[in-house]
Amino acid sequence: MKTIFESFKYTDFIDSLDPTLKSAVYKLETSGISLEAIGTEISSMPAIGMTTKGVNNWDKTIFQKILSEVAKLICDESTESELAKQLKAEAGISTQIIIAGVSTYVGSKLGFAAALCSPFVVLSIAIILKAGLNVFCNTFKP
Amino acid sequence: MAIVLPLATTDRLLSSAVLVGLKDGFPIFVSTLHQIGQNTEFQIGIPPHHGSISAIQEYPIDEIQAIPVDMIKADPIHDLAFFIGRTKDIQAPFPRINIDFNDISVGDELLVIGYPYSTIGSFLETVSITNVSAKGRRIFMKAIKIDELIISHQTLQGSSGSAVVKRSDGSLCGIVKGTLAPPNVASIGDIPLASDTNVTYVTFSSIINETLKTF
Repeated sequence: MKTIFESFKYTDFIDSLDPTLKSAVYKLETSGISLEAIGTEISSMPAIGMTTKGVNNWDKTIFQKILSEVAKLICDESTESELAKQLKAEAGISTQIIIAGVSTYVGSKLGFAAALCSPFVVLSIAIILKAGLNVFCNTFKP
Repeated sequence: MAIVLPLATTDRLLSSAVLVGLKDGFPIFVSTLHQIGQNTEFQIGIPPHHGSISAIQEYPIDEIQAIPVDMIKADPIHDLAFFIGRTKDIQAPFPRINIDFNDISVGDELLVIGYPYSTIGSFLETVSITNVSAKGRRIFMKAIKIDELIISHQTLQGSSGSAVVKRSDGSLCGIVKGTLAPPNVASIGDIPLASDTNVTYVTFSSIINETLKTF
């Protein structure tokens, strides 16, 4: 799976976010806040500042769960996943194709809708690429 | 006027959802994100009155039509979720989306249209007349400013995702997010016991317009 990501920069994925979120991530990053801290804060947003009824359905740890699944997916080289095979079979693979594929995979693993996972998948991939694939994976412990 | 319909999973209602546009003829709905939880299959319920709020609504309802929808975007910062229908069968007008926060003033009359108590099975759509109590700007990590309306309205279970419409021109001004409640109150299930205040937060609608442009 790692080879699929080798040709991308972390900013390729940040750039795929919606304009509001993209500009916020860059602005926060410029001010010295880590992508992981940004992801953690964003994942708490739907529940922040008030007690919204039904808010207990929102999992504030969703980002950490997704980051862990994405890291396992990218760093585990013991078996090649079906997703990796599918992505490698794509001609002209793009960030959008990767995000859609990884979001669907992670969503099915964790029981969330793929679209719900998507912004967190983007941040997770960006964290891994920014740290460096080998550096991240060598230190990542599932 | 906005068409509002109940959003459901395969076995229960979750919230209210507003028809906000079309993509290649397929309807796009918006609701709140916080109540979605670990669900992957979604439907929009079509009660017999088809979301026409001026129609007489009969009850109890023995069965109800529904169309399957897919979540196509989650916006956790604004607590919004967007869905697209898998059928083009819904032929209904969608509202003009208000994108000018300055167009709304404290005291303006608003209509809140939604399905209170939908989470316990009610398909009764209601309209409440309310007013803008305050205009807010939530600051997220000192980087994002989120425009919100605070309205004098009692949000009930299932009201999340309700349309907030400016009474004078019918424009969609926002989506009901939730009710202020004291922190750490006792709850029954996910129902806070002390949340029935009249301080309701509404995500302003301009972000809906921005998001629709990305589809």
